[in-house]
Amino acid sequence: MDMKREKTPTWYFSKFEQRTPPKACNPSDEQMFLAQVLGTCSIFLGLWYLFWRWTDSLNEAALGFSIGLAIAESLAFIGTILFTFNLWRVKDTPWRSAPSRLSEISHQVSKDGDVIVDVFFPTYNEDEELVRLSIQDAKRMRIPDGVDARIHVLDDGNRDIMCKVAKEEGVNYIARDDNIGFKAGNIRNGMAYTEGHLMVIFDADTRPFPAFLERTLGYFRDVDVAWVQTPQWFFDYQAGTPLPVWLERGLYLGVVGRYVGLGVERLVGPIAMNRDVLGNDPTMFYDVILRRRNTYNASFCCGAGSVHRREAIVQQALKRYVTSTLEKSAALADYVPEANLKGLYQDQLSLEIARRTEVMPYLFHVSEDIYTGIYLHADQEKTWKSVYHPEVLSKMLSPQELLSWSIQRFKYAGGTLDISRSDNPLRKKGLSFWQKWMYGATMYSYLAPLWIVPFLLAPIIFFFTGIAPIAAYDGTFYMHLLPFLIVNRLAVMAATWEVPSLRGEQYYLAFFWQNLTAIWEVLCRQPIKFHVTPKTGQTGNNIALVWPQLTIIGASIVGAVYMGWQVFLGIEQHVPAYLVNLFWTFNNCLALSIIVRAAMLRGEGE
Amino acid sequence: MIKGLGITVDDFQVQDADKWVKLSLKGALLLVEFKHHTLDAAFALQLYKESLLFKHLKQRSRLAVNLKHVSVANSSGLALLVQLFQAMPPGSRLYVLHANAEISELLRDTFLDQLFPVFDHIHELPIEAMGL
Repeated sequence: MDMKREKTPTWYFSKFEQRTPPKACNPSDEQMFLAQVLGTCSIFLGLWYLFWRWTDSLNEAALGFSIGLAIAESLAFIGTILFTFNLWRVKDTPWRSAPSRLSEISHQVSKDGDVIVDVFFPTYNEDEELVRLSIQDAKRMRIPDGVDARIHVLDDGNRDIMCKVAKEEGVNYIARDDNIGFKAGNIRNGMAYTEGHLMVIFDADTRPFPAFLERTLGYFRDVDVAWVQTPQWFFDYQAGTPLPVWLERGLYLGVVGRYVGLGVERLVGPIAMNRDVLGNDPTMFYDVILRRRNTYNASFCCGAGSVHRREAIVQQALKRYVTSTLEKSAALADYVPEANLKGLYQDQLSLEIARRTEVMPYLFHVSEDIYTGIYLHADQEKTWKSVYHPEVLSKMLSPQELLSWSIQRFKYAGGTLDISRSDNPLRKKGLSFWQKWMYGATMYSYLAPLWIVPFLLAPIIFFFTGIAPIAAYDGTFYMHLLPFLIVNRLAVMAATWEVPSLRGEQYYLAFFWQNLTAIWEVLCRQPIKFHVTPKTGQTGNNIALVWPQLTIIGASIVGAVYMGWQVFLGIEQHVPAYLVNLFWTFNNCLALSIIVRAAMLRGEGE
Repeated sequence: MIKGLGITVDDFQVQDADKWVKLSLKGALLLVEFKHHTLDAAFALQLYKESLLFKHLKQRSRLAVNLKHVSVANSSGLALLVQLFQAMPPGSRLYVLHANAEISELLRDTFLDQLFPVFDHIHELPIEAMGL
């Protein structure tokens, strides 16, 4: 009699189990050509606009304010250029069938045998039954002939109950007494007790599909491939309400609303209201940004859902170990006044430091995945390749309320910015021009508050003071700005057709405060606090988290009404300026409102 | 300039052996000979779990790792050298002997040759290898 489980837990995400992932978008050559033409035009139009801004549009009556906004626009435009070239091409790595012998993926073989694949599930405090689901799905993965897959639960929580679950599921359990280095340290500990040639890294809640190994291992036939990243897919995303239903019941328009909704959908296709309020859908990042970086051997390592070649990881770790040892000993030896004794001291010191320094396959850093990837890409003695496999091969859970979401995004921002401060890839030897471009583009995107804050404040300042940052909002202004805005929008649409991008654009603005906090902490050299991203919702709303966004919205509305009243009374004559700023402030408030709505979520999922 | 000691394997006294390693001693220098052809993560793991080698290391400050029988090594195998070195007392030194061309290249690629001097023959070991 099976005594393993008395009852099956019911999860909030149980109702999403049958969802299937979206297929990767495959833009045609014509579409990409159109995107490239529009992208090029957009850059030239942007340059033309900025040239006019700097030479002919500054408001001399408020030069500081005017120049501030022009700087912000210029900074934002640099981001546009970086993004445009990121979208330039799609070039996937040709797929190959899984290896059947070790010699097919490695030259370092004296006696041929199976390819051993270690499947790691690092966990800390996640519900053991949640991890069980992941293990069970991993056990359902089809194992290619000649592959020996071994599943390991790496439990940093050192929990008896987790050990029990691992035993019940017949998989290996590895724990340690401390949790130094968090996830990176946990995986390092797992590596010390395993011997696989390849390592699959999952999160505790990652549920692999049966084809995971079949579809990813073949890339390692190229002995230079260091890792393969697959897209992360959050299957518990909020699907939203169909427009006809939303109009009928949400807006209480009854049958009329339903038919209006159906009519609109017939014209433009299905529309879902309140879809993915938290902006968890990562399709834009994985299917567009990361996939197109594959063209330049610059796709990132994002952790969960990736496969790593142990040889690449350990080789790089040994290099860092020796380099860091020698650098530290050289620095200390500099304190020795006698020149002829320096070499001797350095020799002794290096051995002592080598005794005390740990070999770290994955860097102990908040963003250990991207950081380890940078080191592999930058290897000067060997050209390690990364592969982005565009097909979704696993599913995982997303943060379900704003606190969890903020912690996760803060970690991404702070971790990436910390790398750019302490070990900037732009200065790293060994990275190609395009690799620096792509890593630089990601890092630059986290500086967005530097231009977003001026964009948010500029209309408010105008509303309350009547001071405009632009000399005149006349036809010249529209002639320079509108072509750039329209062509840029068309370029992005052509390059990302079928990929949902609205939420990403809204959160690009709405995330400004959390992002600004991350910049501040990195500048102050505060440690980026690492939190395991909570995967289950918490109770209550998170309005307190969005007070800066609420303040901006409030000030914008009050300012717009105040200036509108002045215009109405004829006290204020800047009607064109008012209308332009009204448009921008409406756009800003609409974007900011998404995070306020997210703050109201209570984590029920749908 | 480092001068070779001119010692040979015959100068060592066999101390211990198991299915993974053979250990010999001359003065302070412990000579360990790996018996396997492949130096990889699997070998390193088995050695760590089952071999008597680590027990001997606690009392030795000079270690020469003889790779005469090893035809293939990878980085996980070479990481074992760090493990061995860190199991020794402070002030210890580790030398690598008889690494073939591929392994020597990997030692250079991983920079480990900058910490653990590599010699083609045992008689090339420097005088400090005897703890002198």
